Amino acid sequence: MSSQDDVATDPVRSQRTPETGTLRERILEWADSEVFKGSISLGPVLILLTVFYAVPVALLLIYSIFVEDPFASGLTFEHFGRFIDVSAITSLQFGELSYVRLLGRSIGIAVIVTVLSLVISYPITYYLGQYAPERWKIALVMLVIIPFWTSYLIRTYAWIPILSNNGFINSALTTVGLPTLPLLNNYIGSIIGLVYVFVPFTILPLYASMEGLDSSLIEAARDLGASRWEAFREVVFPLTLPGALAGGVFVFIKTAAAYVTPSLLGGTSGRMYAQVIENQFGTAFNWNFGAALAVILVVVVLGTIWIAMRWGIDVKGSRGLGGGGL
Amino acid sequence: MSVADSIRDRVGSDSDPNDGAGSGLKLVTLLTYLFLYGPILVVVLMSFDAGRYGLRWDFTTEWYASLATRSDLIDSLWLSIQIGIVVMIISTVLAVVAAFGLSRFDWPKRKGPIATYLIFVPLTLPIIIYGIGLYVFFTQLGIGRGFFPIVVGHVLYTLPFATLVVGAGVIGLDRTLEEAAMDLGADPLTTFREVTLPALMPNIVAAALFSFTLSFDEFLISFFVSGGGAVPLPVRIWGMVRADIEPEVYAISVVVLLISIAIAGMATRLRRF
Repeated sequence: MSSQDDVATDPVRSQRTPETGTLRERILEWADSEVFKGSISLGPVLILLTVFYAVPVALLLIYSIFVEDPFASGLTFEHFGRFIDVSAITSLQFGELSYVRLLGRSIGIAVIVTVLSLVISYPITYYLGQYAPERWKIALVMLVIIPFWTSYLIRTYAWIPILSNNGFINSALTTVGLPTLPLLNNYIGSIIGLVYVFVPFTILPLYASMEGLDSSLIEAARDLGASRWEAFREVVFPLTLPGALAGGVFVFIKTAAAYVTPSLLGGTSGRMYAQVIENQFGTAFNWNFGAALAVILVVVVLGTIWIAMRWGIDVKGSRGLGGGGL
Repeated sequence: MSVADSIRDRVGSDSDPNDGAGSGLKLVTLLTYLFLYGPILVVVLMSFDAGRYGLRWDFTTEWYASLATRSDLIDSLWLSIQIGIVVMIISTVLAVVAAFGLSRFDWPKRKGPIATYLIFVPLTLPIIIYGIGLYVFFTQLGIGRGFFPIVVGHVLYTLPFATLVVGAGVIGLDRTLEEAAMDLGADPLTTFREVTLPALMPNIVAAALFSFTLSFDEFLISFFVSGGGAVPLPVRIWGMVRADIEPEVYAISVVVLLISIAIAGMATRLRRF
């Protein structure tokens, strides 16, 4: 949306120079000015964003640094201390670091889900971008986008009858005489569900890169003696990696904060960080500690984006692709 | 035809991109589509299944029939549609205004990017954070949970998407059309109504449809701020899944999927890529 350039190069606007005149002319001039139009058009939206987005989120930050009720009780870092659990560190009881470990596990799951999403995204986007017949392309891409905009809640619990002990996969395994696999209520369930829900976040930006890739580069590599795999590894992969990583950052962020999927498919060993945040508000009623846990998650997310941007990944470029929430 | 192609023709090599590796790729692509649509198919199958799990499958429509008796589900469906429509209207109007503000207004240096970031922060931060923040916010205000907090949450959640869709149209708009209208004597308002708005209509309608379907399917924000009789359908479905799988859950899910697939399909066709 960097359309400021758009306006800057607009000949009509740049020719218009401010002139002094009667009061009426000056009012009209002002009403036509960029500042006035800008505040009229963006003012209401920015006020709404401040009151109903920034304030609620900031409220969590405030809650996290008070003992109990904000401004009615003392300032404290005890909630963050509880997260880190200093006493457990000093007593070398690393098994007790439950919140840190849970965050670590969530980040670990997020890394796995991101890598799997990228692995799944490469073949389909390579096909869609380079091989798919032109007249089918739009329909095929639409087929990727549509699940994206449908209920992730329904698409997630759809995996329960597939993965459960008497579900589709295990029934099939039993029929052919193989032992059943524990796929549900553990981290495998969480990972499968998360990859499923988030893989369009990597497919769509990667498709854009594949589509823009000049196919004569692949031909050139092949003519110079590269095998198909070498051509992919040496030409296609490096040129499309930026698109893949932009989507990957989003998958990582969304997975690290996932709540619905681990709740439905993860069980105890697939339990993730966002679930303990919800727990503090839903059942434990410790808003201050819950808010501190939420602030830590925001720091992780913003830190990821900051690192990604320092690595030169175009995070902003893939933002608008997101549907399906979470 | 490139030199490479003609050499390949003469040598008769098999390196035509559409065979060989192409078929392997095709297979993997097909499997990926199966992965994307398999679970959706499972929901449809389960909704017509008389039993529960397992490979045995007996056709029945009784779950759809019993949907009619579930007044709680019907109330929630109706509520979700109402919320969706209100959110759609507010979000689309704001998106049109914001899209023009962002793309047409000559921002002083730095302030433009800040405004852009402000509008798109909701796309970046985890939705669970926003849902909890909103819950704390409305509780502090004494408003609590209900219809109004859900609508507020959904408007803020859908607005960035709607703004992006309308914004893409505003940027892609041919400015000479508007200039021509102005040159022919139309005042700015007439120009906007007669030229700009019709040209943007596909994007505006797409933004409206996306807003509706995003709100209709939204769960996490509603989860935290719904209550007091206002329980949207996704929250109701969550309760059904969490308690024990009531068989009607698949039937109502198919209804939800059909509504969102139809609307998302229409919106995707309208949207300029």
